[in-house]
Amino acid sequence: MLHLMQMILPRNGRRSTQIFPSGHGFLVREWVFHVMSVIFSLGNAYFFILLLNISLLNLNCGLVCKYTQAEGYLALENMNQLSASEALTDDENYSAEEEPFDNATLVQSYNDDMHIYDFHIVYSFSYRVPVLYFRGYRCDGHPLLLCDIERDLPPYSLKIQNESKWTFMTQEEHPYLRRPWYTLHPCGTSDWMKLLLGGDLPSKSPDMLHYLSAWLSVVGQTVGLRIPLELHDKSI
Amino acid sequence: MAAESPTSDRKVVVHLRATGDAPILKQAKFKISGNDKFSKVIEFLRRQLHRDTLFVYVNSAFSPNPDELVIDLYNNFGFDGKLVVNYASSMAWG
Repeated sequence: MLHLMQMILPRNGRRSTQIFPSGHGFLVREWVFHVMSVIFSLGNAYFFILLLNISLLNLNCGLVCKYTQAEGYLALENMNQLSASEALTDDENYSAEEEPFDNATLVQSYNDDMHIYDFHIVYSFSYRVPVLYFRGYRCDGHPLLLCDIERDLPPYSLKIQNESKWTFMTQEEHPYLRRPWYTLHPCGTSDWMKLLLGGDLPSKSPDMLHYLSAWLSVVGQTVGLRIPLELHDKSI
Repeated sequence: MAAESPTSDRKVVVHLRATGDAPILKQAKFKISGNDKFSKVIEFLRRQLHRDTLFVYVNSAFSPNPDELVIDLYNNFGFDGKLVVNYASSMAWG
């Protein structure tokens, strides 16, 4: 299965389109990246940050995911994820294609098992790093519990989650929405970001598009968000 | 395999470079099939260093998804005929 990805970079007007294979997890049909300019204060210096606003069109489900440019955070909302039980239902359908089945019932179960995720990137003034907040819910709006979310996580994240329950993924208040969202702990972020960007000359302030794409490459893996390789290309 | 492009069949030289307090490997360079996923490199490092939590990244810029193909990483970020992969022995979240 191939997915179409389009990257739009208004900074220099360059556009590129690439076909890339699906990552596991999210059903992504088309990504549209909007690079927005946001000023963040990182350390003592002000960086003019090119932030990614990611929006998505999920053609498979006919759902259009909108990106939100809200004050204070970046959002990637209405990401659809097949739960394990739904994948199982699909397999059963293939093996039992001779049997007559009720389409209405199938659609119903499909909707019931659909997990929708919202991701927000919030800048933490305490830790001076971006922090990922997310929540999951079903089509009927029921929020997903941590045990439901854990079933959607890549195996590696699940392992960390089981080993360090209180220092990886926990529920906290969303700093802007004032509602309980899940978040990844930011304590270690600046340390591994220093490692990641270690090759850059210290005199040169890091390009914030690269800062954020580097950050997203680590954080995205923990929740099954796959970042297109092209985003990391320094020549862009 | 005739339908596959010749470039994906080629071997890629991976250069493993220790950062921070990570131990240096006796053999830092090895060849790997371009068709292999990046997870194979991560698994190799985990076995060699006897550590579960490793921080593995490329080009001092990003941490590749384990599902990425080595050849794709090489084509985008390789230079001097090799793909440099950095590793650190710890990766803490909180």
